[in-house]
Formats: sequence, structure tokens, C-alpha cells
Amino acid sequence: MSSKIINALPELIEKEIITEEIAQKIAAYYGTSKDTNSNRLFVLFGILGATLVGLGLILIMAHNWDDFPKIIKLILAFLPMLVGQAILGFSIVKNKSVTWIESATVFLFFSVGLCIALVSQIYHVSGDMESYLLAWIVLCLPLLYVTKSTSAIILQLVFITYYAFEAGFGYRYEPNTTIPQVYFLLLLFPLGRYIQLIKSNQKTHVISILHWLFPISLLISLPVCIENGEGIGYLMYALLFGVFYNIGRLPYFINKSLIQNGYRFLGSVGTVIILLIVSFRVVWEYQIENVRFESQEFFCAMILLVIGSVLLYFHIKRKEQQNIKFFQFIFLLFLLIFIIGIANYIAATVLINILLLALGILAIKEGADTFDFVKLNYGMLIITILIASRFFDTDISFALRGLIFILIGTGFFTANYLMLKKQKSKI
Amino acid sequence: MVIAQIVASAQIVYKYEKTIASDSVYKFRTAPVDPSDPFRGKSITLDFQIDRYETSDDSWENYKRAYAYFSKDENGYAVLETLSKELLPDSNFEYVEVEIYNYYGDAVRFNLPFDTYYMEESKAYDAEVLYQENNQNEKEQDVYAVVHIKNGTHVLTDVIIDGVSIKDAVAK
Repeated sequence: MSSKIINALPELIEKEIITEEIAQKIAAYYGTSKDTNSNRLFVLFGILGATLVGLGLILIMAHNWDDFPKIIKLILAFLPMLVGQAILGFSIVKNKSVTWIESATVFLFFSVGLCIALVSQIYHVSGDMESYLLAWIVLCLPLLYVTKSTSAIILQLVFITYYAFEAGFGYRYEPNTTIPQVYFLLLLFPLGRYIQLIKSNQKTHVISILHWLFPISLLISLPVCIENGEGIGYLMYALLFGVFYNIGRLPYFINKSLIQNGYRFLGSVGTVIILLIVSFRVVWEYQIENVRFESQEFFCAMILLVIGSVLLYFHIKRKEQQNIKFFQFIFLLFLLIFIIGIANYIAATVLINILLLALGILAIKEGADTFDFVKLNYGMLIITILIASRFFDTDISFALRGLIFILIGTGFFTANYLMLKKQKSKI
Repeated sequence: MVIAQIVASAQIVYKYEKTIASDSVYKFRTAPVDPSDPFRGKSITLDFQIDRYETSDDSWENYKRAYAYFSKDENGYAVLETLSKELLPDSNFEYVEVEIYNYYGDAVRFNLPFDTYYMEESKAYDAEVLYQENNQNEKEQDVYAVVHIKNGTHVLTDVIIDGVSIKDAVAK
């Protein structure tokens, strides 16, 4: 957005809409100049280069150099890590630029992994992927706070999520007793740096990326909390999306666009997806059953409920400054319907469908009131998918289905046309 | 941070080198199968002949850890002396920690921990082919893993096929 404004400045000066002085003030405000842009590019290419070098070294070492004597292999194993530490130390001591710090951090991160991998290979250590990843992650945790590197946050987050995936998913011969505790414990470290970045109010694109990466990590890793019954998984995800949406409505995110607010986007879309899935009767009838209240997954669901409730309470206290949306309460409604569903799956199915219809209508109304085409079409999309989903579990003739789709399509065009016309008449 | 990163890997190297230097070498008869590990290169998974301990004690739990104690015969091949749920402080035999697979038919089955041998990826494939060819000809191969064991630490150092290291056998 800021780059579009900056690019438009010469044209505005030429047409005497703004003066040269004002244009310079605008450029200074957004903190962009050709120098800053080229520095940012330099940092990015530096990080990319270091990442590729690090990955390349790992792949080459994995080729197994059988002909080298053990001592040479050990030197090759430790050398990249020692070089990385030296470069990083030099960068910090000599107060070098961000490019140096970020590149050295990325290089050192992959060098540590390389060292552990190569030592394991030299001594034919059988250890599994999760213990390898855990050792790698733990040894690199200090990078987060020693270097204050933003690349370190992203790398740690990606690898911690990978660790959760390896340790917590799939059939296991031996139940893993460390998950999910270890995942959440490890997540605290990059989370601390993330919160520091937010508090520092730095204008950096990395924060926007992290506003997506953290919720995505939780989305991918949440199943590690499920020990036995998958039924509670639906409740857990609905509660998690409720937490995300309420985080996305915090004062910090108010002026942020949808692209910069991963929490609100994922919370909203995720909630709709979960509701659409559980709008099918078979889910309540066969999957959400035999719920065990003494299970790990139920305990995790309750933690999410508490977090979501605290956030909602915060918003309610602030209702004078900011409207509360119906969407922020969905997770509580879902909990009620879930409890009903354990006893009566038909009632739960009907209630979910009514809830979805209400959400769609509310989104359409809000879009129409604020001339927001995105919300308007989002609401219509919810209703369309809801109707289309019902085609799968009801006996409606093809002719009637076709007619319904024509009506929906016509409705899309009409609603958008009318709103556009209304908007133009107001200008 | 720097010291921790160096020490973490260095102490593993020291432990394994000390075990190799102890000269406590055992031969374990094997039959290799070939998978791959993207971070650590091509590997061969070894399937050992010593994988069960006969006992009428049916209290063994699946997937739990146990301790396998070994002696050597006159040719240096490992002989399983006993399997214990706890460490035996007075035992004169070397031991390794194993994972219990199951208990069935008056025997408890377990997996030995040194079942992965890393090789150059092209050689790993050829090693598998070499073994399968000999197996199809019903030629009985003397295949065994060379493992150093000392105070519970084990290091796999080689796989021998008919008296030749698998690395050299493939090169031929």
C-alpha cells in the first residue's frame, strides 16, 4: 500500500495536487527511500543465499563421503558451525548491518543441524527424526534472543511445527508422552520474541508474516493434543478459531488490513469451514460420540475455552470503543450445540445449519450497510455452500438443484449490481 | 550458546570414540533392507537374528525399554545371555538398551537399537541388490554387523558380507 502511494507521488506533484515539500514528508513518513528499498532487498537476498548454502551443505553431506577418513568427516561436520559462530560473533561485536546478522543467523541455524546430522551419520546413530529435530531446535533457541534476528523466529516456528508433526501425528508403536507439552513449551520461545517485536512497534513486513505463521502453526499442530477421541477435535478447532477471531479484533489489529491480520482471516474462514463440516448429520451421528471428559483433548479444549472467554470479556468491557460482532460469540454457541449434540445429533445438525444461515445473512447485511463487497459476497458464498452441501444429504431432484443454483447466481449478480448502483448514487 | 552447540555434538563424539577404543567388539548376524533418511543420507536398515528371548514371564509390556546382556562365542558372535527389565549392577556382561516389541509364544521379542547403517546413496542401493541376488541363489551369506559395546553405549562401525566390508563388496 505504501509503495503505491510513493509511486504515485511524482504524478501528484506534476498535476500540482501536492507540493514537493508535502511529497517529501509523505515519503519520509512511510520510511521508504530508494536506499531503504535496496537495503531490504539486500537483506532478503542475503538470507536467501545463506539459506540455500546451508541447505546445499546438508544435502551434499548426506551423500555420504565413504572415502574420507573419520577425522576429516568430523572436521567437515564441525567446520560450518564454527564458521557460522565466528561470523555471527564478528557481526554482533562489530555492530554490523542487519544483512550480516540475519545471514549469519540463518547459516548458523542450518550448520547446527548439519553438525548433528553428520555426527549421527558417522557413528550410524539410529535415532528417530523427532529426537534429531528436538536437539536441533533446542540448540538454536538462544539465537532468538542473542541475535534478535527475525529469521530465527521464522525458522524456529517452522521447525517446531515440523517437530510437532513428526512427534504427534500418525500411528506410533510407542505412545509419545512428551507431546503436546514439549511443543507448547518450545513455542513459548519464539512467542516471546514475537511479542517483543509487536511491542517495539517496528514497521516491518516480518511481523505481518508472523501474524500468519503463529496461527498456522497452531492449526497444524493442534491434533497433537488429541490422544484418543477425534470427536472433541471439532470442538477444539471451533474454540481455536474463536480465539483467533477475538485476537484479530484486538485494538492492535484494528487498523490492519486483512492481509496483515492472519488471526481474523483464519478465525473467520476457519469457523465457517468447521461449521460447514459439522452441518452434515453423519458427523454428529458417527464421529462426535463417546466423548471422554477425562481425556487430554477435552482438557486442551477447556484451556482454549478459557482463553477465548477472557478475550471476549475484554472486548465486552471495551464495547464503548469498538462494536462487538456476532462472530466473536460463535465459539460459545458451538460449545452449547456440541453439548446438545452429544445427546441428540438431529437437534445439533439443525442448529448448526440455522447458525450458518444466520452468519451468511448477517455478513450480507453488514456488507450492504457498509458498501463492503468482500463481506457481501462472503455472506452469499456461505449461504451458497450451505445450500450446495445440503444437496448431498437430501433427496432433491437435479432439476430443482439446477434451479436453486440459477437463483443463487442471479442473486449474486443482483446484489452486487444494486449495491454498486447505490454506492455510485451516494458519491 | 556457542559452547553449548559445540559441546552437544563433541560429547557424543567423545562417548562413541571411547566405546570404539575399548575394543569390546561383538558380531551380530543380520539381513539388510534398504530405506532412506533425507537429513542423514541413504541408509540400510539391519534386521538381526537375535531378536527374541525365551521366557515364561508374560508380564513384559509392549514398547517398553529393557536391557539385553550379551557374551561372545569363540568366533566373536554375540550370544544373548539374558533380557532384564532393570539394569543388573552385578552382571559381568555388556548390555544395550532395547525396545520390547511383544510377548508371544513364550518369548519376548525386541528390537536392537543399532539397526541403521549409513552409506553413500548409490552404494546403498547396490548393497541391497547384491544381497538380494545372493539370496535368490539361495546362497547362505555370512552377513553380520560389527558393534562396539561398552557400559551401555553401542557404536555400529561396519557391516560384513562374506568377510568383506559392505562398502568394499559393493565397489567390487
